[in-house]
Amino acid sequence: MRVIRIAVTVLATAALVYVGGWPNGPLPAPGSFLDPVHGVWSVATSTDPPRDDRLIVDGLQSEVEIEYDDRGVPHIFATSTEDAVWALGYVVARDRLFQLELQTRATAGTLTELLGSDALDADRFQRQLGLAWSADREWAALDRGSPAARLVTAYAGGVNAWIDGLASSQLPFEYHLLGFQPQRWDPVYSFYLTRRMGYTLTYSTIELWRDDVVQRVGDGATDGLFPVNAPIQEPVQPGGRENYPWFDTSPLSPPSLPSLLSPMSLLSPLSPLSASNNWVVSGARSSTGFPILAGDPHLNLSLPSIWYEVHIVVEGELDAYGVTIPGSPGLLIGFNRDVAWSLTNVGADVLDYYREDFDDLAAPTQYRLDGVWERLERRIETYRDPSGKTIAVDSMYHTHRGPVRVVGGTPYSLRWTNLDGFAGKTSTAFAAAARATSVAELADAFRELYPSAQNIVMADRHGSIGIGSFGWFPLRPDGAGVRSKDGTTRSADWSSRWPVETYPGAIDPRQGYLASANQQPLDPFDNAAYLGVNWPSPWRAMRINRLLREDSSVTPDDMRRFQTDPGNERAELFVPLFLEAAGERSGVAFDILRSWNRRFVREDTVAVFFERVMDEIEARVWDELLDDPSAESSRRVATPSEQVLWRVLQQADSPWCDDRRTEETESCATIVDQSVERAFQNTVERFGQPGVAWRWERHRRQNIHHLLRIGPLSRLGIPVQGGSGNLNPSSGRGTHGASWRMVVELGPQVRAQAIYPGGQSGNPVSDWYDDRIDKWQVGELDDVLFPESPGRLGERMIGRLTLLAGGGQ
Amino acid sequence: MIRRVIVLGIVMAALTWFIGWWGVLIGSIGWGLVAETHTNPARTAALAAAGAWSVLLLSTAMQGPVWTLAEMLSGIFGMPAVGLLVVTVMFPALLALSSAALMGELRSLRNK
Repeated sequence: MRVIRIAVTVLATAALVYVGGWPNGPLPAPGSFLDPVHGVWSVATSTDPPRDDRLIVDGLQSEVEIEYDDRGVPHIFATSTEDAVWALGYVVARDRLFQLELQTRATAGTLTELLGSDALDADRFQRQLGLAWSADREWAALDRGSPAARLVTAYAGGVNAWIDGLASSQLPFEYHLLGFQPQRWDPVYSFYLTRRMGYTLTYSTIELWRDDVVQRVGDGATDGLFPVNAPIQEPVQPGGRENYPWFDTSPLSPPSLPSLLSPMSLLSPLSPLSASNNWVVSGARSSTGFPILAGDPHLNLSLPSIWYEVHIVVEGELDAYGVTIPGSPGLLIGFNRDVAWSLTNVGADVLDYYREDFDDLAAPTQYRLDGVWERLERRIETYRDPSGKTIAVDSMYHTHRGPVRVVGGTPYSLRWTNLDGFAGKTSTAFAAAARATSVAELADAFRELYPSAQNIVMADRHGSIGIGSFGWFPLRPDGAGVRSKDGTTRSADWSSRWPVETYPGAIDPRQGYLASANQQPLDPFDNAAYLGVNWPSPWRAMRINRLLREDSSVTPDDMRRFQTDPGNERAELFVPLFLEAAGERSGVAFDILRSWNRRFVREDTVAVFFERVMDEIEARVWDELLDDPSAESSRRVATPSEQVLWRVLQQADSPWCDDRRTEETESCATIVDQSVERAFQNTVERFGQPGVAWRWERHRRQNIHHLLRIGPLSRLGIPVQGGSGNLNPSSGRGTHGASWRMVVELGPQVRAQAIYPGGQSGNPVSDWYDDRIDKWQVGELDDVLFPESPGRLGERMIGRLTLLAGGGQ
Repeated sequence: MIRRVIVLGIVMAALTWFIGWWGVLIGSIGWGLVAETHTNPARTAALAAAGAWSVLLLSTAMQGPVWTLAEMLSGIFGMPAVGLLVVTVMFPALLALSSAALMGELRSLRNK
């Protein structure tokens, strides 16, 4: 009997120790997870900014004072730039440590070490692109005394000081969940972030999938579908034509017969969702007589947000406020006492694919160049799981141009500005911008901005406004980058960059305002040099330009309202086309469109139908681009932008309107007619009769996912005003949108308002985790506090942290 | 009995504070080795462990939104928030119960 009792207690104890001590699949080990002192529950004790802490830390030259306001924003007061950047690393790590690690691992391709083999494909892709590889090389070659190296080293010092002093209760929630400890921060990780942003903003595969389109519709037609010049022009740089927007209504080249060649493997083009707005009005067009600038970058929305808000003061040197991305040693968008700036993506073509000739495709060692075999650089990439076990090993290859990808059996090498050694220059460019005192100085600073070309809108308190497209724009020997290039000759390599003086831009234009929204920066009427291809439809650019043209006395509150303006130029252009095609035809569907005010407010009951009409028309017009036209359901190999669709519909008998899957030859009017009717039936079938069931807010919502897409940590189904093509765009899965909204008035006293959808803290039970979402949802902004010295926050100060220099490094 | 539970509970709370959840195992093994057999050391250890973690959890709750966290975790693990709190208290209790009982059995085996 005793033996049985002993056996039972031994087994029970062993089972509990095993269950408590080891993770079970994705579940953390319960013993340490549930521990009320060191486990997940302790996360609840670290939700607030520091009350009034004084810490002695190594790595600072002198004391740094950090005051937190009631929005959770740290105001850093330091006596040197390096101390300020060190403190920035410290406060960012305090609030966003897991985000720092996750984005670093995502770039380095080491997510498998955190998440297991589910992340292997993502890691392989990242390593193939060579983002971390190129950043490591840049860092290795960088003079440690250079301004860029000193910035990222100081930042790393702050991050690591936080990690080294981390109590278990300060370990972010996600580490408890994954059963991990944070890795230390290497200075090069700041360069990883620059590469990551470069990937998000400039990576493109158009040269690869374009061949697929060519085989379906011919070369000439493909040029028309994915044009170098946008058919609707509303350029960033005010253009030389008399009126804007300018519309190219000339017929598109018809599709030619499909090629007998079998198409290469499908490469889905990236969804063209990257979008942002910025604009500025001069004092002559503002109600206050001072320039007002609005920033409105759109990115994937996440919790915590991609942005972190901070104010940095270095006595006599720097006094700037704005947002940084965790990992970046400075502000990326913001203002100081003299200037303000904000960014949108240029969308320039800064990546080319070269078809390479290898000696052996299965195990290559050399590639042919100008008739000579050159040695391929090879790197071995090893992937490990959370236990450290090797789960895969890959060989990656590089030519002198960059990393190699094999697509459809053809090796391509990538030449991409994002892999050049420019991350350091990017850091120093933004550091210089934060110190600028005029638009001219801002422009000088941003001329050093390289990998991710940006349209930067600028204003200063002397009354000047400006805009410029800054980046490293390559000059190609053939003048264009639309097609993949012959890699067997050096003569196909980039020769140099655009001369800086030819960059798109304007300072103090007569019109008194400037705006960008990812549209083609230069009207080819003014400058036809190749900058990019397949520009996004300029609906947002048209809208903001219309609003700014019509209002000659803009207030800061107008600027705020414009950010969520419900007007939609896309609907303004397409609906009249639909009605014109319908002629006198009546019927519920057309009557609904006729009576629609085309405003994407939450209560609207037509927008949902309009979107279905657009889908139906695209499905009929772009039938030539279906992967398999004979199949009942087949996806398109690529979809031209809506401005190209609009151009097609200008021509009543455009051959593109004919649906080749039917025996009849359809005109555009027939296609519109069929699409409107079908969309109506479809909408009724899906949502019921027109009315409340069609309310926009029921169907179009923003979804802000947690970084690991954990449901209870996400905020999903947020109804907002706006839709596809609106200044506040809401399309696709609703995961993309206005990531930071800012309005700055540059009078004698700088006034600013801003918001982002989330909160400063990465702790999901903190009051500052998602506290801004409600105001963001309805388009409101917070007043920003911009004190000149410590102790000026008054009642709105909720915490203080004093970092004392400990002497060590 | 109550005094023993309280004293052992304080010891287990301290051990948990310093070395984490293994403290419960060490505390209950130790208790199983020294406690008089007729005092039912396993039950005492279980109650002490549950009490210790309850007090620690309460202390954490006084410093921050534990219930909000429990609700969040309940969404992740698909179980009620209360259930998570119960598991948090039951886990050390069961561990202490089994390990103290094991030690008691081994000790009486040696004495025999």
